[in-house]
Amino acid sequence: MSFNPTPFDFWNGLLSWGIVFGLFLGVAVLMVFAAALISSGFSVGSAVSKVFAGFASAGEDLFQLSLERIWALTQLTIREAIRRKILLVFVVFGALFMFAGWFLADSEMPTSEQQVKVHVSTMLLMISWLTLPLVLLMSCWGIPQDIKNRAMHTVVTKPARRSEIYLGRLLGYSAVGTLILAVMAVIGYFWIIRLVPASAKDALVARVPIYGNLSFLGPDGRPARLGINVGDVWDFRSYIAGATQAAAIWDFDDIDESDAVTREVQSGDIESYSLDPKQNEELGDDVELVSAERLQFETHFESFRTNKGDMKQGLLCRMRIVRDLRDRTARALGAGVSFQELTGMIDEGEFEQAGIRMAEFANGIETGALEVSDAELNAAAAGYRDFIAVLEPFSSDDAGFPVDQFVSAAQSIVETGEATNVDKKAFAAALKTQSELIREHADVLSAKLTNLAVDHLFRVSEYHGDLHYIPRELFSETGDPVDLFNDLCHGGRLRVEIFCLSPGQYLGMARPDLFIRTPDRPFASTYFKAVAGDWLMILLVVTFGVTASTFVKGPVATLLTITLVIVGAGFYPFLEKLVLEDRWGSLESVRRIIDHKNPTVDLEQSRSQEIIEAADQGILGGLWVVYKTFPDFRVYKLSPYAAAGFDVPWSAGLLPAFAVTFAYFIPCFLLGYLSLRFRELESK
Amino acid sequence: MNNLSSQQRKLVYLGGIVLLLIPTILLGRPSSGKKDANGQAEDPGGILAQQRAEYELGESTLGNVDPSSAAMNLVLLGMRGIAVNQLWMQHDEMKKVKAWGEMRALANSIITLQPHFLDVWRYHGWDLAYNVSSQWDAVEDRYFWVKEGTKFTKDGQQRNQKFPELAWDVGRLIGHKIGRSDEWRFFRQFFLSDPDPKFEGGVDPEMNDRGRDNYLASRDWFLEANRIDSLPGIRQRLMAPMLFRHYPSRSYFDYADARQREGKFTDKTATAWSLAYQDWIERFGREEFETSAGKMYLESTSDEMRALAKQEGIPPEEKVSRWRFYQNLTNYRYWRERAKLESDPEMNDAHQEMYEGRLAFKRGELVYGPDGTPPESVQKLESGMKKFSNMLKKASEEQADYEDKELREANKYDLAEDRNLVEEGMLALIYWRRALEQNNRDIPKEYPLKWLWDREQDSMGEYLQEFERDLRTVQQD
Repeated sequence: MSFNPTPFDFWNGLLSWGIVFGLFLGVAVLMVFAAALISSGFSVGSAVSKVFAGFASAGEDLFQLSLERIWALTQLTIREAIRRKILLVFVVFGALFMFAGWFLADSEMPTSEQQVKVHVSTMLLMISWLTLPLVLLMSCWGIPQDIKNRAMHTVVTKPARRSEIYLGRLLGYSAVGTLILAVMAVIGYFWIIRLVPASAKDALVARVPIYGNLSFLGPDGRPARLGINVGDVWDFRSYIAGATQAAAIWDFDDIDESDAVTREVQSGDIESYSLDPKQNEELGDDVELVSAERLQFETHFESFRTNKGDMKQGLLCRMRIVRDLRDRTARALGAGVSFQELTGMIDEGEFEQAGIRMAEFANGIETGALEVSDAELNAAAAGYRDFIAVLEPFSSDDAGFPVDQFVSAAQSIVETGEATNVDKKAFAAALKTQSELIREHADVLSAKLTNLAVDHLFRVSEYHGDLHYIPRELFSETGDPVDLFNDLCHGGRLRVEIFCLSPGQYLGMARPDLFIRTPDRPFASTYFKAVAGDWLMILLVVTFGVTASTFVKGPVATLLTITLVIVGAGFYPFLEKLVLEDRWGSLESVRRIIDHKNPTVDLEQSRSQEIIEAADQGILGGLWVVYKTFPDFRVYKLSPYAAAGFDVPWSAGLLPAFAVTFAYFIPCFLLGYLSLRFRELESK
Repeated sequence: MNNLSSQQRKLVYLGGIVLLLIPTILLGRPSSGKKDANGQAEDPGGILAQQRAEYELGESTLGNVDPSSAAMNLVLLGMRGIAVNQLWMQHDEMKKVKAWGEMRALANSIITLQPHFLDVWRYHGWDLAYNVSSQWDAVEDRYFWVKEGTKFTKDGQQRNQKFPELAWDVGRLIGHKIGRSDEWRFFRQFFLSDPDPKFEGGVDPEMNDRGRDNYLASRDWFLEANRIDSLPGIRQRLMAPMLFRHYPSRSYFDYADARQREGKFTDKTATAWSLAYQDWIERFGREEFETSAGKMYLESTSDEMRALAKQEGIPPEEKVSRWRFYQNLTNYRYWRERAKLESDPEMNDAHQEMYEGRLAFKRGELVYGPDGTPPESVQKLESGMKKFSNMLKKASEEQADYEDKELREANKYDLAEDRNLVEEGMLALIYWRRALEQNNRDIPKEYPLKWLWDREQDSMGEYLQEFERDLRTVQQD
């Protein structure tokens, strides 16, 4: 998978929306007040009462809506649209259906995943391209046409509020768009099912992945921010060197038995298979498959060879499923330069020694003999936060040590240590309490906080992917029996380390390249969710179209809506780059061109430069408002999930799409209502 | 006109349309396509159709017509350029993010809009077969993309039957990409037995319809390229004419050479060399080329060239000089001498024995018997080296007796200095010496190919590296 689904931060999005919306609302109220002030001959009292009267009447229009009237207007809009032969679009759709096969790749793709991808993405693209212009034109021309042929006069003379007229139109066009989209989506679904080659039908699924967090170890075995860049322009994947200590590490949270799937397996060991059946060894007649519960990992690693190596086989990989409580404890308690020596002691299992040393540190800090900076104590506090995460999953009853007391002591360290100005005495006291606990329970800690790992070797099947079935009963590196969920998953946290064993070769990976594949859902689930993305986009376009048509004529409303769609769909990444990247502005660029200063040269700070920078900040601020005002159409692009055979996730997929549509609906409704209210409907 | 009613006006418009349609139909009426006994069209169609046929402007005169392509170009009206640009940008993006399936589909869409743009076909064909294939790890997957590139180019050739370049490209992909890439051993095998289970161990008929060796299949494509290049008004623009036209014969050389590299030393290999030799001197060597120095035949003598120059009124020295230049350009004399030498059964035996000696060494057959009988590796290597040395000397002597003494002196080509042959001889020598060293035996003062060993001492490092590499190579018996 070449995209990285990240959960949508709803509250942050809401806050951002609130700021922009509030800003616009504030400006609008100020303008209204200014207008009222002028019209009332600069009498503040009269202006205020005018404004309040206006708000009261608007409030009535906006909140006392009649569903009956809105429904009547909606029906009228639907009937009008059908009368205008809008459903003829199905003829075009039908024609495209017949010839779509021509434009798909002639020969079969090498992987079933790619065959499915081409079919699904073509169909979803076709549906959105056909529906979008249609609803755009329909919604932009409806109200202006009504005004032109004076049909609006008939409506406004009825007891219908302007807000209801707006909503009636909006719902009507949305209903027509929804109908068209729904019909096309259902036909498209059966078209895909029929046209995808039989050999690729297995790839028509909706995989439900659980993603972990990815971190790296460098060739020397030390934590690294990223792996190696092998010269790819696309820096999505990072590479680890073969036959070194370099590793990619995935940490999963909340893993339990419910994530396991039932699979046909050959044995009780870990089994790996390529997702390309051709690359798997054929099973002999004597092999019996049995159904069993397995935790299923799917990997999609990329190989990069610096020599031919063994061309007949993929790169050799080592997978370690690890419970690293000892390592985590060692890292946690040894955080901060002054406390580093604790790491080594805990690694060796010398908890008592570590406890004694901690007490010495505490005394040193208390008396001032040990000089520690606030930054160091902040780092130590962060370490103890992780120590709490290590301890919490143990329940006090069978842990053999007072978990609550440990957590409470660590909590005190975190609380005192996280402050900007650390109260060192309080920190020392908290550290002392923790050290006493550790000394007292050193033996139990040494027995409980251990490392445990299970090893497995497999060959990488590049661009096809591999499946790994992990049974519950395993054997550790030392040959002891291990339970996957009880022993290796600590508090639902599971760590998987990947090493490349082929010397001179590199293995590339990104966060979504290893995931836990929970039971699949039917393909229809992801397909119709992807269509829902298109549907929400269509609702937004209808909202824009109807709103624009309330204050400008048809052609201008069309142009305006097209501009919003083009900028939102095509230029949003560019806009984002302009606003978010830390670069100088346009005026400084002009200056650099005139002065022949290349981008690597710093400009001298002078008064003129300060003015230029300030002006650039102003321009960038304006751009920021534009960036925040235009909709980001990328949130509606859910087809890559369906095309890649993944279920559309709620948080990273559908939620942002819903949120964006709703976020634009509110201001558009206000704007549309106000325009209809204040517009001179006599003008054609 | 203003006095006419709406219905009357519509009737007038209809009449106008019909009136204009009559000359349009008469002028543009297509040909019936049927031909009489004289090969003339029974109904040549309207003037426009005739002119289109005469100046070869119709789609069908360029090659097979793809209805989807023609339909798309019509539908897009004048927007084809913009659509193509957009597709190219998407194509590059997909390539960047390694979405090979989408990239392939986009290449198809681009070609639907640009069906007669030579470089577009050539670019995508190359890109798929060379760049995309090398991105994949499994050899079977790499071969799949080589096939994709080849099929794509082949499709281009079908739709553009007047581009010799595309036929040449198909020949190169089948010959060079399959026969010379790092994975050549696998690819050549896959060409005869496709790894895709749907072909059930047979050939992919789109690649190899007659189930032949890849070099023999590529020869047919090079011959086709030469045929198109010979059509009036058509000229390839890839390279010098002589280079372009020497490829069918080169395929024979490559075929024979590949068989040797694979350790196949049957009569078929010797016959392949002799076939290559005949083709080189009789077909390619006697082909007439029009050059700036008049007519030219590569298989000729300087006296013949001088005589020809006299007839054409060209300074003889200039003619001879150009003739030598073209011979050098195509490595003409090297391949002639090499093929002649390799056609000799004794040379075939020499290769075979040296190859088998190396294999015996790798199998560990390098211990002398109790009675002093040399092991198979030493026996084979010694015998092969002896024959090899004799053959190289013989070739040099034969060259020394060449009738064209002037040329011999000026451009002497000594096969004993040919890199491929020298490397083979040196490898055999290193293996042989290692086998003796393993048995604690002294290297004799005189042995076959000693002259080569002494001569090549400066480059020993390279040969030893090659020996180490060869030792690791998985050999196929």
